[in-house]
Amino acid sequence: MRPPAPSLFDAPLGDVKTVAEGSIGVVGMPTDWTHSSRIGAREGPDALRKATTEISRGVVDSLGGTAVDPSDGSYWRFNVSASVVDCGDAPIDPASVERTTESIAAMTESISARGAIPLALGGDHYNSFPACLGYARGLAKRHPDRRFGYIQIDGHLDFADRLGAWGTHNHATNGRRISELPNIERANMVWIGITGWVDGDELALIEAMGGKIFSSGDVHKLGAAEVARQAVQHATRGCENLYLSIDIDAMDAGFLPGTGSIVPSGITPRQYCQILDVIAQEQIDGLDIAEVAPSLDPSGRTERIAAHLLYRVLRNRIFSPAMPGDP
Amino acid sequence: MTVTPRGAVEVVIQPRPAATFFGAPVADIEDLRSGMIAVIGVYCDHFCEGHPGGRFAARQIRYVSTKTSHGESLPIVDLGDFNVFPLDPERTLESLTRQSQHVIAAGAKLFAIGGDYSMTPAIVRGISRELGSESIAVIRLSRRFDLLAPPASEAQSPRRTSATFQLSNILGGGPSAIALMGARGRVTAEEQLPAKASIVVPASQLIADSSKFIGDAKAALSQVAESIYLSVDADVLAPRFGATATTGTYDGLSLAQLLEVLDNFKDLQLVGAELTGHVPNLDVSGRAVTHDIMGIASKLLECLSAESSACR
Amino acid sequence: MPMRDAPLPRMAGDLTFMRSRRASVESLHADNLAILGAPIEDNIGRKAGTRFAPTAIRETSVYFGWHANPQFSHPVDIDKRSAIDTSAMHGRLVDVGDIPLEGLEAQSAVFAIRSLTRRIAEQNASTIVLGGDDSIVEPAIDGAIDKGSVGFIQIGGRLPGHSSLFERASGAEPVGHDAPPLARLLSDGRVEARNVMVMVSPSRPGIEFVRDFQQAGGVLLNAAAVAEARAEDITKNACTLARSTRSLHVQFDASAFRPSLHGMSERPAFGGLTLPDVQKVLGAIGQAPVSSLMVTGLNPTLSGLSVVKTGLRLTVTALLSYIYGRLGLTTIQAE
Repeated sequence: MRPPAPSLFDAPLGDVKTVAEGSIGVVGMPTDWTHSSRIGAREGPDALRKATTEISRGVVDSLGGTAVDPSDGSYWRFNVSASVVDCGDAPIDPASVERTTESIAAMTESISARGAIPLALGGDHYNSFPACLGYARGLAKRHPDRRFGYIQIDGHLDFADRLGAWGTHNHATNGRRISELPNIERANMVWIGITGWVDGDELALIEAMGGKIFSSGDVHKLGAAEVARQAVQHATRGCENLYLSIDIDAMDAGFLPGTGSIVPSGITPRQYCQILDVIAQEQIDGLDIAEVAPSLDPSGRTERIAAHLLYRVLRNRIFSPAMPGDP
Repeated sequence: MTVTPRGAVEVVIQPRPAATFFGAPVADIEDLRSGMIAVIGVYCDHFCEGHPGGRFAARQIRYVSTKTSHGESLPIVDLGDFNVFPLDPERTLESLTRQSQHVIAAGAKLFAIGGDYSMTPAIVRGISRELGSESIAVIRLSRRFDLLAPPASEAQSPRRTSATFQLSNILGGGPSAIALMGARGRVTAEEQLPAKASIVVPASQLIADSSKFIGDAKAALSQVAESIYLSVDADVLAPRFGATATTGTYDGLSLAQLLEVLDNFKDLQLVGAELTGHVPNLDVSGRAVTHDIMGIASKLLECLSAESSACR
Repeated sequence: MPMRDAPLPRMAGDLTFMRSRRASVESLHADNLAILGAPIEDNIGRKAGTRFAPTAIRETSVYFGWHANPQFSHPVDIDKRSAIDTSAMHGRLVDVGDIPLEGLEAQSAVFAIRSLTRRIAEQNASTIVLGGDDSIVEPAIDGAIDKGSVGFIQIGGRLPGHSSLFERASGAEPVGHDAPPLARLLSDGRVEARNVMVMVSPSRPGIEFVRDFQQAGGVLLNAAAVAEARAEDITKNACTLARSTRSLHVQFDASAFRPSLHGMSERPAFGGLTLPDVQKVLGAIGQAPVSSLMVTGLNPTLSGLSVVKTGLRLTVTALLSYIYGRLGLTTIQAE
């Protein structure tokens, strides 16, 4: 039976406590109160659910659930019900960043503590901090001695300590707040896709702590797959756990205008997919996707491109290998 | 203009420096004098449920009104925007209270444009600190009551749904110092409890005979306080006339009806006014609704200055 | 307590260009780069809207107001890893406001633009004029012509489609009001072709115009040539033009960008430059003593309403290269 309302890739709905170890628990974060300019990302979770449902129903209804990957001729069976549970949206309190933060973190912590993989749907990119906060707490419960690496695909560093009247917890500071988590390996923080000008002091801080930055120019020059390989290598040194934060605004605004802080000369959709294909081979045990703002793109392509990015990073989990002739 | 020695007139064109409310000159608190009307933007909708965007109302109204000539005929100045802290409600409310108090202390009247009703208690608190809480009453035009008690842990919550409740705690006259006009649709049972009764004029009565019902309300308020703060929310309009954060019902006042209602307040001793609830990015008409909101703002300015004239 | 003792939220308050300070025309001096808005357009058709560009560009530019933000240290170009010291900008980059053009008839509008640009030129300040459509170009240049010969660089924008502009025989028909500004300026000799460089016009100029223009010494570069050109050579050419004339003026039209990058040009056409190419060109030209840079053809109302949109961001990002160059914050060695 299909869920009554769109869920991520048509996954079954369930409480965070029903997410089995190794599967993915989806948490929606429908808030953009912490974005300082173009708002609309609060509609992101719903839009992603609808757009990913289009993908999954296309596979199931049109292809009968088994698809062939034309690049290598391999067979794959769509298997989302065994691997994904959509836990709904975290309660959001517009009057309190603190309460919203704890609300989101409580859900991702619960999923992470069970050995499952929290996938948080934004919302503006501040919300990757509470998502990662919960993940980190859950990891600490399971493996108190472990530290995790971090990859952020983004057009911006988000490493400010504060943003003027917006204070210390907003979409320009999430990377900095994440770097302060007790069990993150700061030297293993990697950014991919940064574009344009950055704050000199923030850049110096990241480099001093051992973090690594690959600009969109690096992606164009070195190639997306190579950048992703170097990023993974840096992020997983001495770490068994990896958190991935996907900000869709790393993509060039000409392709993807439906996001709050657009960048020119960003990475292309093909490059973004190549990056995710490499990262998807790794043992990601926590991730989020942020800044999908469908109302800023009347054409509807933003949420569909974002859904495809999710498909690329999750396809090894929502598809299982099949043989020709399998029902 | 300058006149050259040969008698030809040379016109010196000056650039228009910034979009301001109704073309008014820009000023700061230090420039305020008695009799002035300080128009100030509220860039904040962060603590209100529903669709965001009220933060942009002040700027859009500046854009559409800057070419009008009210700034020349009325004693108004554009004080810029209140200093707000979008993610720190406590600091924002404190800042609004302090800055409102400063405006009133200078002898000016305050007209706040933009944002939402959740900011109103802070503004009224500032005014009451200067004038005394016993001397102020509030007339509120909105389709909602917003009389819910905040959670016990949030006495100073900026939630819109508790704004009228908080006003009743700020004003010396309590609930009897508040007139709620324009309500329609359904309200919660909690808001109907007698203990929270204010003077209520629903939208249906405003439409039927505004002069009579408003006259009764004014008479009742005058027993409580002399000075009035007039709060108008765009949601008092019928949806086809407004673009607001939440739309609950299909009916409400037309623009003409609202302007007629506001005419009834010209003889009041207004210390301040506000216009909240307009969300420009929901204005799918282009800018037509924003122009209507400008019309409401213009009428409120007339109300604020009419009393100024009467008192001279 | 002063109202302004705390920072305002990013998009609140008076949105000047890059959060620069406001200044009067009378206060300008040679060190200043003044922003002047000219919200006017001839287009009353379906795609009208370039008159909203000055406001829209200002709104977008607040993202780049780092020099006015005490919490921001200094910008670093993440690809070149080159830092820019913007501390000197705050006093030099100023916003003069908009020319009051609303409701004026064409002749009065032309007078207003000419009058204000002349007054700014008399203060020896350099200007960035935010249009509007290309109807601002002719009066803005006219304001400077009184001081002597004028050099002109046009990037993007319209060119004459046919008829020679260099025959000034008696009885020759005057160039029409709606002709491209360059056509009008060349046709009566206000600007000489040998002092003009055109880059990347999306419109197809007439063969006669190209022949006569180049024979008269004008330079015409297509997108490929511009993409291949070295920044030093562009700077050198601009400096040469500036030296051989009394003042150098530049028109940058939104049509210079590839339309696939944004949808905000009134006249999208195939071809055009990428953002890095535009940054190269404007950064190089900014090294020369340019009197005015006119930004035209950007229509923010295309593709619906929004606060900040792609074409605006592209334009402001490109303008930064010019501004940093013009204020001497970045340098390209020109012989």
